[in-house]
Amino acid sequence: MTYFNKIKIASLVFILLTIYSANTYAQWNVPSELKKAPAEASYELVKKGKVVYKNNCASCHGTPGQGDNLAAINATDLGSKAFQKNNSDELVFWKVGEGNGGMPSFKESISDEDKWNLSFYIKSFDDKFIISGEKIKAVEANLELTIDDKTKTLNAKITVNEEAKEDVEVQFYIKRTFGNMLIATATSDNNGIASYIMTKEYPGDKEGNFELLVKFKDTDSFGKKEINKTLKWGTELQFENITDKRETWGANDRVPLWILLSYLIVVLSVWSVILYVVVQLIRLKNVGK
Amino acid sequence: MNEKNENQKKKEFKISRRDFLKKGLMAGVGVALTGSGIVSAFDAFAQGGEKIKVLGPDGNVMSVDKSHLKEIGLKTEEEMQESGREGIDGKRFVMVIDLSKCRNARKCMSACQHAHQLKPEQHHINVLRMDRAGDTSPFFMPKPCQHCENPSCTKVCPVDATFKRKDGIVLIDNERCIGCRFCIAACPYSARIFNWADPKDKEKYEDVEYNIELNVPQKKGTVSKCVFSANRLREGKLPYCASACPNGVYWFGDANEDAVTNGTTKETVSFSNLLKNNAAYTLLPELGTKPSVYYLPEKDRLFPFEYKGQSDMEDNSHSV
Amino acid sequence: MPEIKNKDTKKSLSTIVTDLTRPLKNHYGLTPWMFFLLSVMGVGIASYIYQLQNGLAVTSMRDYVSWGLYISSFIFFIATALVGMLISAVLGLIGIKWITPIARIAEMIALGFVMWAGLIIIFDMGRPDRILNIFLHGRLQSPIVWDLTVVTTYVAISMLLYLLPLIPDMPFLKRVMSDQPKWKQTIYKLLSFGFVGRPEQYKLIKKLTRILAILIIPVALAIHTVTSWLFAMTPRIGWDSTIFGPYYVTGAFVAGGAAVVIAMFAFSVDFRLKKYITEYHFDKMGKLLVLLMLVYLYFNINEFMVPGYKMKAGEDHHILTLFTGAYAKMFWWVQLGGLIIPIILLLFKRMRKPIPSLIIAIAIIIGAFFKRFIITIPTLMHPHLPIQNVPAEFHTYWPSGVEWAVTMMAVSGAILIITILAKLFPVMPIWEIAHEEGISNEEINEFIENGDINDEEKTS
Repeated sequence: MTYFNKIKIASLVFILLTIYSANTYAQWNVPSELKKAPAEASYELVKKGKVVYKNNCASCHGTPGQGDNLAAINATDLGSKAFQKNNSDELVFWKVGEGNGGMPSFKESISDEDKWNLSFYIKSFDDKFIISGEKIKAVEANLELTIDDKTKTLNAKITVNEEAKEDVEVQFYIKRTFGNMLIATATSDNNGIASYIMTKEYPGDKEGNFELLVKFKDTDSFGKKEINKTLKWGTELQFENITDKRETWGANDRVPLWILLSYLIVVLSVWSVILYVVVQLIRLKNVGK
Repeated sequence: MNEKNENQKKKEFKISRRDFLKKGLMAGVGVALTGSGIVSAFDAFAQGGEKIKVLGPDGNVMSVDKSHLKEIGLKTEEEMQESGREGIDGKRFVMVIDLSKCRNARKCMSACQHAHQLKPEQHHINVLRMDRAGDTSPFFMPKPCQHCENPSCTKVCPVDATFKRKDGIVLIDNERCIGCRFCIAACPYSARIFNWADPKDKEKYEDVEYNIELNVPQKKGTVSKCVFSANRLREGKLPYCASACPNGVYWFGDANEDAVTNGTTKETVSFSNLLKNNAAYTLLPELGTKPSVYYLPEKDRLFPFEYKGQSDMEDNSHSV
Repeated sequence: MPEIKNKDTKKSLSTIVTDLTRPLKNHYGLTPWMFFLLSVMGVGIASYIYQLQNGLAVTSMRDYVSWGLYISSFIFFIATALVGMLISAVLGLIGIKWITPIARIAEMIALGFVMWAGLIIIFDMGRPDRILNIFLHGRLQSPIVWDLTVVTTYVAISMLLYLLPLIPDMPFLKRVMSDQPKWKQTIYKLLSFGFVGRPEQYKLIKKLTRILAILIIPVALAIHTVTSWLFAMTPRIGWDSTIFGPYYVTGAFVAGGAAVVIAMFAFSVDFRLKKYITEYHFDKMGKLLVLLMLVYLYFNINEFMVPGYKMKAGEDHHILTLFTGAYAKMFWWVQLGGLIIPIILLLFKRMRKPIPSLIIAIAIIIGAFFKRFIITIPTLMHPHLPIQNVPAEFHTYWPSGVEWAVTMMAVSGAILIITILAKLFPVMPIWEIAHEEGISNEEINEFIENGDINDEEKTS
């Protein structure tokens, strides 16, 4: 069986397996000649490619090899043996640029350089794929935070084995209800200090507090150390309870006064006249006696 | 067999409780007061015996000992009503829908229908095929309830069955709704549906304690609508639709925190910046309803508009 | 052609009493008629029970067209009921004399239809078992609560306005109906409120009637304005209109006026009252209808010309559906058959005679009913956003059998109330007609004491 026939069959299987899809899955029309990579794959480039992957591919394809890809829309697990066997880095580069069926084309939205890094990253799940350079080893870096309330400065000190570490990226987040919001990334200087001055106002709770989270950007290299800190730097939340207001859309005990008064005045006056007539009617018997 | 026995028990309990309440009402206030005393005494006496059906955290129906509800972190119907009508303090929930990302995967619709016990033709969220003008490109537009700041629907409700909470969410209480359907007529976004017949899986949900924040069990003769998954927000989780989307269409968050989180990538960004940088807009702004749902325009799409009809429910008799 | 005159012959009191009370005693045709009405209602009740058991799914209403025949009929009933106010209050207060024999008929129509209007709302509810929630949790911001308040008030005033002019007739009835079953005599005695024909009593009755006649004008305007607000208070294409209040009120006068003409014809023929409801009255009613229809036509032109000229997005769809689309037949029937042609025809004296009047009135009533239908349904079919991903039946609406049966029950019920009232009490005020014939109160009292009732007439 030829290389391309196998892909055809694989595509056919996908079609049959599909429960439903917004798009029919077409087969790849791979050209006979593919672009060659301008540089050799290295661990440094693979690392860069991982970022590109997270931002563009992970939402459908999941983490390669973990099986958290969205099969319902025909997104392949890129870490799977079958995929790795049939796709070279050149082919991955081409496919990302082309798009197919459910998958969009990233020709313009991802630069060629990033596309290469991306395909190196995807191919890094193939044991046979050759990557040059040294594999980056993770170190357990330490992270300490000093806070200056006056100048609103956050100083994160990074040390490895009690020695200051230069050129490490640290990210500052504010914790929000459904996730952590990145507000800044700082790089450590030769004293191992990454500092950030908060110039922007961020909303806090009713007391003006918000929860800060500091961690390494490259957790693969420096470990998962995190610092949580409550800061009183936020703007105090002026929460106005909209249901307290008297509104036409409000609850029955929040009826606008003009409606309440008009209603009562009209109903009472009309019904008092009706009542008057009824009383007079009952007295009819004795009239003129 | 075991299940049957359990059902039997539940039914017995239900009858005794209903009858009791009825008699209490008929006998007037005085007797009712004594009555509630007896009920609590009865509760204490029957510890371990009284089972009620509630919805578990995953939406499954479970049978729980009433006295154990607290221990497993669940609420009684009365408690759910109270907190459900109140809302979550300090929040103003908003949704941002990125139209450039939507490609009609409809995961939002199915997740929603699954969570809210809806039939295939009942939509709390509906992905519409839109076209602004004849010569522009058509696009897909998911449309949940807009949870307006000036809602036309709650204005007209005669019995406070549909209402707006302090966190901005518009809910419907299907234990109170009289089924007049005035809110359906008033809503310019066609966001409301009605249970014309018995709801889906009626038997399964029979006697289940009503969760107002989930609006389940659904009831015949009452209105139903999108509730922004109010039950999940309490746990800090994103709405069902937002979490189910594979394409990163939904951003959801708290405007008071100025942060929205993407349901697919879980990325959190500034709400105000997202709106400003992407020319966000609301639907039918001329009606003055002030929606809490914002849309980002359908520009820079990475895929073509493809639509081939997805079920027998489709037709093209009316489009904007 | 000679001028149509009101009075040609002078009637004696004994003739008046005999003519007006005859149907109360010897009208056996009414029994099969009531049986017919009750059997129609029986079908309706069975259908309603079926609806209660199976939910509103047995109607044709669905999520988009969520109001249908019931709500259309509700507006139609409210509209028809409005005529009581026009004839007995407005025309009465400005001193128009020819309404004397038809004022009570108008009031009966008002009572019958407004009572059933309230019931139709209940038929339309998904959970009628929760009706008490309106009192337990009522929201004064909701137009439905306003509507219920004003309907209740209108029922109360209409009842009193029917009852008050009836009181001076009770002594006649007590005397004439002495051979009738005891329960009837008890009713007459109770409802006489001790009226024995003293001048002060006449004075009080007239005074109270006048007070109510003034009071009912704002209340009746309110009932139909509030009903129009059920629609106009929503931001929907076709309902979002500032002239809906007066538009509904004028439309209601047309519908009610036509209903009165039909009732006049029925009573004049079936109750043998041609001496009282003469060609003169049909002529006057015909002229009145022309006036009312011209006003209504004016509002129609405003309501459709203005959006039709602009063709705003959304409204264009709505307008085209009415003008040339799915509802064009109904729309043009309303405008031509229910308004323009009747206006032209009724300009001719010949067309204002009883039988042509009747036919025209029926055409107007059908138009009025269609009008309510096309006010309610097409708007719901054209929401701001497209209707998609729902079954085909959600896109269309035509009432189901259950809806027709329940609506026919309401129509029969309203007619039944009118029939029962006509069977228990005279359809015209005996005393007022006697006064108009120049018969004094003393003569009336004398007649009640020991007057002679024409036996020959009585048994015929």
